[in-house]
Amino acid sequence: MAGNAKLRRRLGRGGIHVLLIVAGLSMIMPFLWMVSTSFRSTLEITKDPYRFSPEVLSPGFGAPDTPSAGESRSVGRVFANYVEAWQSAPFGRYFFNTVFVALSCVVGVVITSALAAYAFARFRFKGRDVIFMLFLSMMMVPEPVYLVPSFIIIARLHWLDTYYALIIPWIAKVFSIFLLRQHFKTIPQDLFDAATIDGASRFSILWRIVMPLSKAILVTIVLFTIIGSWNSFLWPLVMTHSPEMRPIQIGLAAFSQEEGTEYGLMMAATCLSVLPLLVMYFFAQKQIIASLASSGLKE
Amino acid sequence: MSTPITARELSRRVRRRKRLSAAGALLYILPAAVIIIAFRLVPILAAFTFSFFEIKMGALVGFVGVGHYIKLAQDPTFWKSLGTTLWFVVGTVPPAIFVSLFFALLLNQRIKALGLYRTVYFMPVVTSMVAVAVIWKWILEPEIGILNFLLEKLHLGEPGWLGESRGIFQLAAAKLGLSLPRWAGGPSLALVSLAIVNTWKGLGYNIVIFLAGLQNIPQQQYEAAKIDGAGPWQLFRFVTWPILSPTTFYVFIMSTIVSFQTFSLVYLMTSPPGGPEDSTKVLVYYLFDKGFTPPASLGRASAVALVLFAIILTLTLVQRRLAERRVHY
Amino acid sequence: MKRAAASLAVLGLALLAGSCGHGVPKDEVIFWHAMGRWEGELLAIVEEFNARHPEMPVRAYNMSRYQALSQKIIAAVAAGQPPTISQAYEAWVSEMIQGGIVECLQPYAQGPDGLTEADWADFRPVFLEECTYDGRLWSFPFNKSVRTLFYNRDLFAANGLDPDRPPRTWDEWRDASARLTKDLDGDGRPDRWGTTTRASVTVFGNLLLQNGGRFFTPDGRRSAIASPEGIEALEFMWELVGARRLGYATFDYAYQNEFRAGWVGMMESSSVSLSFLRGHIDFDLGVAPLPGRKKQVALIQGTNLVVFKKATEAQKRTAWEFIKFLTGTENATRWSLATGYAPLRASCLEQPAMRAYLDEVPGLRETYAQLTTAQSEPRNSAWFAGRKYLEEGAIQRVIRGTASPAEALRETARKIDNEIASEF
Repeated sequence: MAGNAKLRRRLGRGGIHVLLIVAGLSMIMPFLWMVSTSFRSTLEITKDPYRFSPEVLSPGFGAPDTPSAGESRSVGRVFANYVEAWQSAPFGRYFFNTVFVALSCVVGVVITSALAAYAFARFRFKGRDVIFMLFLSMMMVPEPVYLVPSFIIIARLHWLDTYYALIIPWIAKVFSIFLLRQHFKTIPQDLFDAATIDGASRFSILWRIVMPLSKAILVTIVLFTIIGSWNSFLWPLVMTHSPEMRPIQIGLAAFSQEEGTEYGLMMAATCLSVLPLLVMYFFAQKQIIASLASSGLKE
Repeated sequence: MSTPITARELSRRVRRRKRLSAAGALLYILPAAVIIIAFRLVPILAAFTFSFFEIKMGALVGFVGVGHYIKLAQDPTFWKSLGTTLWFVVGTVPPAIFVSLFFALLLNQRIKALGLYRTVYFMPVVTSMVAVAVIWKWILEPEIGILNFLLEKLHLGEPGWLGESRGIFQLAAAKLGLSLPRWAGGPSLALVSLAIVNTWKGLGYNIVIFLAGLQNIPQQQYEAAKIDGAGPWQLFRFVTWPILSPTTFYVFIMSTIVSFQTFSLVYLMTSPPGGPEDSTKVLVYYLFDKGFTPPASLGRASAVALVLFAIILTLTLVQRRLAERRVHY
Repeated sequence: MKRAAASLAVLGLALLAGSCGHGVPKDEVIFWHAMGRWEGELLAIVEEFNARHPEMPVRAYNMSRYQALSQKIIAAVAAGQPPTISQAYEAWVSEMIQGGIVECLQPYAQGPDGLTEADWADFRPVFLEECTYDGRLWSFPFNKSVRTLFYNRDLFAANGLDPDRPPRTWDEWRDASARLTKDLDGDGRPDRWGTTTRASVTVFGNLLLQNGGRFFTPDGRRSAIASPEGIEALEFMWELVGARRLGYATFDYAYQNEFRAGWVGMMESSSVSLSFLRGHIDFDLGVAPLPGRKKQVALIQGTNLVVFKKATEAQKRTAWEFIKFLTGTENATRWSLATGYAPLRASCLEQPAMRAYLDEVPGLRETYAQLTTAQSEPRNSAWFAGRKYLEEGAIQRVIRGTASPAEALRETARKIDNEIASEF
């Protein structure tokens, strides 16, 4: 920005890049360290914890006087931790559950939030602001507070250990309603008037005009919902008990035992769990960042 | 496709619309409301009821009135965890604002490879909390973790990170050969470690938000200020900062709410969770511990929940007040 | 608005009080456990049981960690849908008895399908005692371990210590640690250590009991940890693993990895560590009973099984059958061999597979012989709260060097006394 030309001159382009690269490294190194550890056996890790290039990928592998003396490199040996991680837990099922739950939540959240936000933003009715504030205050209640009562409700609905328990309570999100409402408020009244005069129903205005104008914010909501679903931990832990119903986070946490963590195995399992969302992110990042950027500005 | 309509027809439509409004609006809110009432409001009210009963290992034992609230006020751990929560908020909210803003400003200098930097900074945001906790626990491992190895190479000592219950001020004073009383020790290094990991995970998101805010600032504003002879600091102070205030306020509110509710990091990273010596036991974890770690009392936990809710609500109202006065739109 | 809130609150309470057990299957026995690492072995035993009892099979659900298990139990009890059987620590069991949610096992054990005279005599007394409250059996021993001294035989031999004669007293332990601690790279700081362990209540408890101390006064009204025996025990612990002269203690389970890497000569740990060590080390492993002082004694750890009241009569009967099956000589032996948990019965040691195993791991026979004198921790609720103060407020602070043993123990004893006084 021209306004900061002096800052630029003083720091110099090089200086800015140095700062940015240092920050970038601090963001990416933990991931690389995870990958590197995931290729090493527990014995290798405890003998030499600080080695960056895994023995099995280094030229000296199998040389005498090393922990790997006499071993030969094979695909199975390279990916030993991954194979063990994959075999010791139904990762395929975990992935399916995670993705299925996240996508179902996305569909639900978009529908319920759009409807509610539309009413809060464009209709006038008695008690509107009170209801909205009530909704907003729900956002301030931490999960452990409502966990047990919710569990009781879920149990009475016979939803324990089913997809219902993981999906239905999460298909309405106050924050998404809030974001959409803020956005809907910025759409000019003329547009609504014109459509009304044309005889469009309220629902068709929402569906045909308002939603297409809100693509960016909807992408944000989709992303938040997916990340939220991906991050949720306590809820699925308490609401499910069979491996067939568990999402990946819970499966991953099970690898970290109370005693004697196998770091290599643990990191391989973590890699497996992190990969899907990272890949999705790399493909969709332009869209994601552009739309996220628009979410913070409406107040 | 519109056919011309008469003025009377138009007013008829508008009247009809108004009449339908209340009922229609409720219909639109209904799906969200059903879910929120069934899985938030009712459980929260139920929790309120629970707080007057003794419930052991999930089994109702008897009515205790306000007994739990009295016990709570008498429990030093409760007061300590209140302090711990405040330290955590203080340790995470300002970095969420200022560190992100700093990097957003750097990224806003029309630099090359902007996309690449953004991609990298955003990676932790799309990584699940469990994974982040696992990775950082390994990095911060005091004996064989990589961070302490690097610090030792630089002769900076080997801090205990997540296992260190001593306060950071106390540790700093000890380096200088001073000794502080226990109350002045500050937040434990374990808590600071959690704050660092929390900041690491959220930084990318805030940078993107700030960057968008910066890119929306009209160029003319800077030009005008420069004609008035403003230097870079004045430009920031009198142009960037005020125009950016809605974004800053948004980041402030969101990170405060999230920060007060921190739970997973404590649960997943510290051992025993909330430890060492309760030094990472933020209020939400204190609540969870009371309710779910045997000997567990759901009643006591619910009492904590209500107190916590009151605190967060009050803070949000105060923030709103402040914002109304300070934020320049 | 107010009225609406009030009626919702009533609804909330109704939810809790009136919750009933609909939706829980009545034709199977639900078994919640946290044996993540050994799930396969446990499931194999469950399958065998189910082959014999097709009319009411046992379904085992892995909660992966004890912490998660206790959370699930609390939520499930509140919802009126507990499992049939669960693993439980005694800290939980005493609360469960007070909450009236678990079934007393005494009638089952003494009933027609109960334990025989031979069974009663065969189980290690310490295990049954731990499950007995006011003379009645409320839980049943399952995965129990006993504290053990592990040592690196190669390091012993290389440092002039006899690998076949591990330390038997505190003094020998101290001397062996001193011999093993070495500064190998000459930077003035040791990089190989004598002893490591976790800075835990269990380690201190062992020393306290070995030194003739007690957890509580005989009338149970006051804590006895700050006795001269207790202070001496904590001072010894500080000397051995706190001062960084003879060894060190970690605050989590990392010490096992470091012993495994060959950096430390000895490790005080649970017998279960055996399964973490075997196959992961490149040195000759030694196993021994804990060194003693005035007494030879070690604490037991691990969980027991409980049966929930909510289950139907048929479920409870099958649950009891399953418990007998799981802890019978044959399966108890198999479980012990696979996991490193202690053999529950004396007869386990006579099984051919166990005999072969005991011959293969020198010192293990003597280690398991500790079970005849082993003790369990107290089970009153003041101890469950006090245990935490003791570990974090006294032991860990002493190990860090931020408190003196006498002072820290006195402060903790006061807190525990307050807990005893404030029970309501």
